[in-house]
Amino acid sequence: MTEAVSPVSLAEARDASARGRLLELWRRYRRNRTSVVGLALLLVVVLAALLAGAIAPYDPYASFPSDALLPPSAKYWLGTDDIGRDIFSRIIFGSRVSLYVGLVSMTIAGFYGVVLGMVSGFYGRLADGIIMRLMDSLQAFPAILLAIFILAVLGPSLQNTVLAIGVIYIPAFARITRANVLSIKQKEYVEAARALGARDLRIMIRTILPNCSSPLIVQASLGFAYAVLVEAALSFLGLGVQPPEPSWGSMLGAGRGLISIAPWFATFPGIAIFLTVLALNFIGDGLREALDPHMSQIG
Amino acid sequence: MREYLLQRLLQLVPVLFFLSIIVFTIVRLIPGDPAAIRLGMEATPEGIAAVQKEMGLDKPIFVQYGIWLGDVLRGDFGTSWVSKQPVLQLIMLKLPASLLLACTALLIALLIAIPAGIISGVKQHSLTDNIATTLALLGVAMPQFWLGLMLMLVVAVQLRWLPPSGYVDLNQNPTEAIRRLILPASTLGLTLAAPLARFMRSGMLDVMNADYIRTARAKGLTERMVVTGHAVRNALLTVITVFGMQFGALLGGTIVIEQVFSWPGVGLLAFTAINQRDYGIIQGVVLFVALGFILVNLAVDVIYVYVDPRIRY
Repeated sequence: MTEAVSPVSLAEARDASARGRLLELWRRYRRNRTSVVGLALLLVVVLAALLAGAIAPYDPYASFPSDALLPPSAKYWLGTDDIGRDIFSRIIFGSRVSLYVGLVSMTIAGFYGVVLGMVSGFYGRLADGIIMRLMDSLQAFPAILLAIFILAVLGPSLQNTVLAIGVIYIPAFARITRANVLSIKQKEYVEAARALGARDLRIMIRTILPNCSSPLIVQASLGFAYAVLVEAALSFLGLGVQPPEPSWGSMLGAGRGLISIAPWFATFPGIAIFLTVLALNFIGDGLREALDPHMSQIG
Repeated sequence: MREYLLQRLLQLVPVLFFLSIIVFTIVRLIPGDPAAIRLGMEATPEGIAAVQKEMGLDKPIFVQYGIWLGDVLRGDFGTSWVSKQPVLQLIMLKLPASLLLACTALLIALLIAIPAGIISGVKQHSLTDNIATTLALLGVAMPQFWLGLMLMLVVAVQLRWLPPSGYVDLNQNPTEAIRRLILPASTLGLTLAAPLARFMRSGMLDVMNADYIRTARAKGLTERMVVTGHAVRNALLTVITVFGMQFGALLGGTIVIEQVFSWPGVGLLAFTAINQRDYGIIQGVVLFVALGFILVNLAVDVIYVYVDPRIRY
């Protein structure tokens, strides 16, 4: 009786090697102290978003008009806003908006960017020409201007903000995917897959995509940081998330007119944005070093 | 060189074509009937029909696009839906204020970023390098409009050194004009300096290890001559390549910062238009800024070829 390799043990072996790769990645990632700090900071933001209801001392929408514009105190840790809402609670709930915008806009940009870049790089010729000129034209706008334009036309809302940020970030993903596809499609293993009778779609998804995932992951983490910044700017300008929804940007926008009498109102949401973006940048740099050791020699 | 320029201009044609389609399409996404929006409260069915005819909205979409593109190519960027003035004329009125702000900011950014990048690159891992690198890292994560508000809070509200916002014409009262320029220009300049310093530093690090630097040292040049005469010039090339991209950030930043400091430039014009739902102005401004951005990028590419004799086309 021959000892057949059972499918279970194969799956286990695959799991084990995936775990090994993750461990190796983590080992390289944690070599950089700032990346670990970034991860810890982001973890705080994520926990704040997930457990907002349990952590926040007050309802973020509840206003106590008699307590309007109070400076930070034991009762209101970061003070209150113009209609007497607790700023600390609103910042905690605001983390949900920022993370949501980053996550969804990068999913949109990543999906369309990868598809367009893949088609462009894989098929070349006319498809490549049209897609890349379209990407050039999208990048011919200063990014925030295009987002402002889209929101001015579609109207301000959380969904439109996500859409606008997603659209302006598509070219970044498309370019990276295309560049990687161009080099990967020359490789022997792609030829091998083709010789085995794999179709284009299968080659693209199963063979090429996993091999260009590293730069895409790095791009997504840096893009996440960018999305948080852009959402804050758009909401600050009144074009993004609308009140009473607690968004860091719109809180800042509401506080700016009161900067001389209630400086805490505009200060703390700004610190929240700053720390979150800083954390995401640290993570992006750390991932770049861990995933692609060649790229991080300089800079 | 002439061939290269021609080739670059030809490459621009499809980009401009798609750009025009994007701008045209986005404006057509306005929920509701543009004619009704334009008339506002006074809209009657007859009035709407008349405005639709006037705006050409009764024609097929391709014809509308053709007419619009023809106008743009003749330099007609449309008219304001509210004041009926030509948009280009409105932009030209506001452009000097925006250019003053953007150019001052750029100057501040270069004055900070280039020396910081050079010192960091030459003395890697020194205390100065660590401080500069950390500041640059923090600067990249800083929301621009928040930095503006914080500067306003500290410098204008608490220290009372400068007026918090507003604009004075440079020709009428130069001192006051400059006093009002400092805060918005510094906000933009500081945030732009952060990425530029990082690029300058990595450019310097690259160059300092190059063979020609070793040759220069072997010739017996002093370290100062090696750095200023050889390294900096080559490292600046790195900065020029990223400049086009950063210029987009500067333009976008100017639009936002004008709003923060009530600076009456093109950005503020656009925001007033957004609040009045004046899509004529919005479309014109977007098109104008995008074209300016494309031209600057083209100029940067040409300058790059011009200053780097190794590149031949």
